[in-house]
Amino acid sequence: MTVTPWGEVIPDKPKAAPQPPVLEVKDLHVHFRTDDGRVYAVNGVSYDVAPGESLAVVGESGCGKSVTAMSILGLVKTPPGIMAGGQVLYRGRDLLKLKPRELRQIRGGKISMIFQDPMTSLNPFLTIRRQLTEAVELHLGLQGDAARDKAVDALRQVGIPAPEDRIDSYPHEFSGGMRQRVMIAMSLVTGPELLIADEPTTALDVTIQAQILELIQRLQRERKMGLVLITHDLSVVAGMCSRVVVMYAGRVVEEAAVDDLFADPRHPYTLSLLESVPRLDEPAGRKLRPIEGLPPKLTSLPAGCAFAPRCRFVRDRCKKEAPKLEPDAEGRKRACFVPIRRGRAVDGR
Amino acid sequence: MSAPAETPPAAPKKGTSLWQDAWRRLKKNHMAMFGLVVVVFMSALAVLAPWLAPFDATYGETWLGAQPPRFDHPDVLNRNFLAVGHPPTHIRPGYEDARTITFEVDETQETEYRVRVQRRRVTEIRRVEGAIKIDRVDATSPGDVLVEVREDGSRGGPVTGAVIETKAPLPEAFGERPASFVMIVRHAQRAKGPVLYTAHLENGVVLDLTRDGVGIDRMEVEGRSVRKVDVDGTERRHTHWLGTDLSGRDLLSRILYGGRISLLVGVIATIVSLVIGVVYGAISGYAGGKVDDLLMAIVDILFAIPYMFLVILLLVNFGRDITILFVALGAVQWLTMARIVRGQILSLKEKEFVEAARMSGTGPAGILFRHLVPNTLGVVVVYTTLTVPAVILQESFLAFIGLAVEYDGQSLDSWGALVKSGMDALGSDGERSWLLVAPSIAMALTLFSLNFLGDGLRDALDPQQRGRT
Amino acid sequence: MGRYLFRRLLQVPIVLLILVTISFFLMRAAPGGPFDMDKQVDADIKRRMEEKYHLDKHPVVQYGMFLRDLAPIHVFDREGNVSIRPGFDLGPSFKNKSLSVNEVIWLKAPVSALLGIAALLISLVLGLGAGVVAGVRQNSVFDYGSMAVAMVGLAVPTFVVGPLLALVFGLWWKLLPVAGYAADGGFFGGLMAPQYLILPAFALALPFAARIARLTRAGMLEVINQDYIRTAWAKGLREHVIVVRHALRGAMLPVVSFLGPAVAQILTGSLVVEQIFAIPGIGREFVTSAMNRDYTMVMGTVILFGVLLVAFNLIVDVVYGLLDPRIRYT
Ligand SMILES: Nc1ncnc2c1ncn2[C@@H]1O[C@H](COP(=O)(O)OP(=O)(O)OP(=O)(O)O)[C@@H](O)[C@H]1O
Ligand SMILES: [Mg+2]
Repeated sequence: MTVTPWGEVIPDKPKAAPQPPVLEVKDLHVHFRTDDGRVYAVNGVSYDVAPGESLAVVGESGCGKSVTAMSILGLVKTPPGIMAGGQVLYRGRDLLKLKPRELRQIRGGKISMIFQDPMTSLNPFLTIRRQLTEAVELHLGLQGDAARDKAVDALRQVGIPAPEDRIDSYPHEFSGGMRQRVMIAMSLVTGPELLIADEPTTALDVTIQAQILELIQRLQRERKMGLVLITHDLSVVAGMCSRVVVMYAGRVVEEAAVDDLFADPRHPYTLSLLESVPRLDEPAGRKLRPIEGLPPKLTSLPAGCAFAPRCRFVRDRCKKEAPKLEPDAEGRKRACFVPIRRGRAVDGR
Repeated sequence: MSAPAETPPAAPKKGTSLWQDAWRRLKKNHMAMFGLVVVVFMSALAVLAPWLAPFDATYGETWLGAQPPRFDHPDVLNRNFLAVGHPPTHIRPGYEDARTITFEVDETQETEYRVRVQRRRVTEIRRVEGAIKIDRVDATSPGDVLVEVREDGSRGGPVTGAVIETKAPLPEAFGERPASFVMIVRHAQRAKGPVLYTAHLENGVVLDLTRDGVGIDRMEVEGRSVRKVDVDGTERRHTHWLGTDLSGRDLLSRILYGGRISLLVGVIATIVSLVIGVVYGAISGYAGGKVDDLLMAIVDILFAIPYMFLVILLLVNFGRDITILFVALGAVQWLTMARIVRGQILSLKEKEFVEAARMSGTGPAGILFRHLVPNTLGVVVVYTTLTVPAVILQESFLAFIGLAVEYDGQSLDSWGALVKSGMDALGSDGERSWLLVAPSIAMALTLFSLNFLGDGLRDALDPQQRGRT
Repeated sequence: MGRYLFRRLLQVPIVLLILVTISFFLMRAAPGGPFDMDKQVDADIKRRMEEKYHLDKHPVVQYGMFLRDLAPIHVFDREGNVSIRPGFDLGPSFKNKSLSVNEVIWLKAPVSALLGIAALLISLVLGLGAGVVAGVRQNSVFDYGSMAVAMVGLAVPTFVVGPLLALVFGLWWKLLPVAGYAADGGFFGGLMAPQYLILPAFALALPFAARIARLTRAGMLEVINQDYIRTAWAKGLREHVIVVRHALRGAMLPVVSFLGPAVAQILTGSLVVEQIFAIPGIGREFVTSAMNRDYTMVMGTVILFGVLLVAFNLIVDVVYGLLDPRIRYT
């Protein structure tokens, strides 16, 4: 991706790669019914992933990243969840409208998912072998030894030492990092086109985090697989992904190529987010600014922009009207009324 | 690295204590509230049984026998006896102070006939008394019954609505007979209207007595034949809302008194278990270390013993006095309580307030029983509510296998005993089902409610449950 | 697991010894003896009887003799000569003079065993089935319906369920016999004539089925909200595979721990059920012998119950360990 002077060139990627996206999330709305009222968890999220592309989804805790990801595979429990609207298109087919049988072929077969906590995401009562081979049997139609060999192979690829011996172990006999490797092996053994990794390293030690991310990246490149990487960690995003979607309170507030986003965030929330973490490409000693205030209550969202109460660029209009995700003058997609360049409002202040 | 602004955990609401909080949650739990209402209601019934019960639970009007629910009858005794010049001792208590008592009595009149049959036709009918010859015995009026009295004194089945007439064949209801024979038939006939007995009393003595207006000096009527009884101008009747048992005892009264016993055993044995369990558990938890290990090993071993069998042996060999039962059942139940309290104490004794108390010079016993034990109240309350139904169940179980509690050598019929006698009295077609069903419902409803209340309390007091939907 | 099991095994003899000792002295401590009630027995015969059964000796001596006879292998005979015989001798039955206690147990225990096994199976099938479906289909009509039934089942004890079942199915509808047992008796006789066992087995099973259903449902609800179930869904597995292969094991753990106490309760429950339905089993034998002061018979049944109980608790521990791989090596 080339850095373009503002206002001139539309990013070249859509033109250079006219491939249709593997996955398109369109105006997704997901709510939850709870004792304290309806939780508006996802309110019109849209993003897409091209084949072989890696997309990052970032945002504060509770902003709806996981719920969106789970909705893709229909893993949101209804009730209490309510799929209130929108589409999830996989190669043009709306996954939300598929019959259970059709959806099952896609789950784990075409689209796989890795979850945050490897300590609880593996079934403690079943051997690793059983948990791997059941996916192989289901999606690849292999049985017996063939399935086992495939599973051993998958374990080897994710760097489990002596996979032939380890395959008959139970999850509790593995460390956290190893378990996440097993999870990765499990989700990739069927050769999916798209991998959704929901904070795959949050629960791991820092040293292991890097290894796991590297592994995911390597496998993604090797297999030319689409990747949706959900994360808190912006430094991860820079190294691994080509495009970023920033979410806030169940909405996408900015979507941009990674380099654009880091170089010049166009949404006040993205700006604050970047200011709140240390960056490698900046001189040390820069003051970190945590985002002030709290994320809004999802039970009663404000009428205007959800970020307005915490926004330093806030205008009167922001409190009355919710901005849509639209390209600005330079084609950068963002949901804000205030034009922002290089951390400043263009119209003064 | 995460975005720094994390949602802080919801701050606990101020001003609501643990108990108020629990109560608020309990109120939302419909089943638990239902349980609470039923438990309070049943306890009130049990406490007030002597005032609420319409009848004496142990005395039965045997002439009634087992009667279905809502059976009503004149309020008289099995046998009602009055004699001029004597105090009226053998009539319903409470009638002695009356001035006038009238009994309307269905009296039956029995006449025996000798019936000769020749060539399948009745040839002669004679009254046995006086050998008067008559033509016909008509037993068609309601209440009339013909019964054959055989030579050995046994009787044939009752025949109703039949006529025996000379020159006619013998009614078929008398069954297959030889062509010629002689039989004795007794004709029981209700008197034309009821007979009216009237007694006047003064100063607790019968002044005069009349039968259909004719003066007599003694009267004896059976309860079953009384149609109506009038005392000083008001009719006296009684309704058995839940019917009566085989010996004519009012089932409702028996259930009320039975509940009294069941609940009493439940509560007292639970208190016994509470005291033992809390003290044992508290000491074990507070002492910790080797002492704790030993005490808990003992509990483990006792847990593995099938206690019920020992309780049965105890009751069989040492009598079923209610005090023995309290101790026996209490001793069965304390183990779980001890474990629970110990667990609580173990975690509580690390808290700051214990250190604070120790600093201020409170001794171990003071810390244990004034600071630690009161803090276990929540779990203790929950477990106590669950122990009561368990004990009620065990007592009823014992009563059911024939080990009903006794007091002063008198057996006290708890619900278990009522269920047992109800089962024994069902009849071959289950025709007296109310005797089983009514006490079963009373017991099940109470146990059900206590369990619900206990579960509800646990949910309300258990901090782990908080915030869950 | 191994060390834990070892500790539990050590407990077994202690538990049994305590049980035997308490029962033994409870029976003898009370005034009167087994031969007091038969009025026709005159003093002389009574004395001879007591002598024959060693009742004239001090209870502690009797206790020693009882334990000696109970030993698994007898090495010496009464004269002190070496003569190896099988042990576990519970002595003659005082009341049933033609049979020894061991013989009575061999005669009646299989009947109770059949009843108990039938009840256990019924409660497992009903309880697990209803619990799993209710848990998987939370808040459905089936969930509410079966849990309401289970609530009632919990509150209604065996000795109420039994007579009520007898009333409805036996006396009113006349579908099944309300009392008695297969004419050929024993385990297989009972198996061949199951109509006698249906009502008692259900009466015994229903309270447990209710408990198991509630435990299973709660376990199921807990398990299906676990992350690893979400993983299983994400793999594209079918619901029944997820329930059976992934969820059931975890959901069954509380049921398995409940089976220990459940067996104890089924044993006590058999006391009433055998009485209600006039089944010639060991539970009824215990109650009648206790009332008749048949010392040896009581001891025999108590020991049998005790052994069954500790054995079953051990089995439950082992099964728990097999089901949950996490505790295998701890
Ligand atoms: N089952 C549920 N019931 C009620 N609310 C829910 C449920 N699942 C999610 N939510 C709500 O939806 C919102 C979005 O949750 P989500 O898990 O998607 O956040 P997230 O962005 O993944 O956060 P994190 O970074 O902490 O994983 C949260 O506020 C959460 O409280
Ligand atoms: Mg998440």
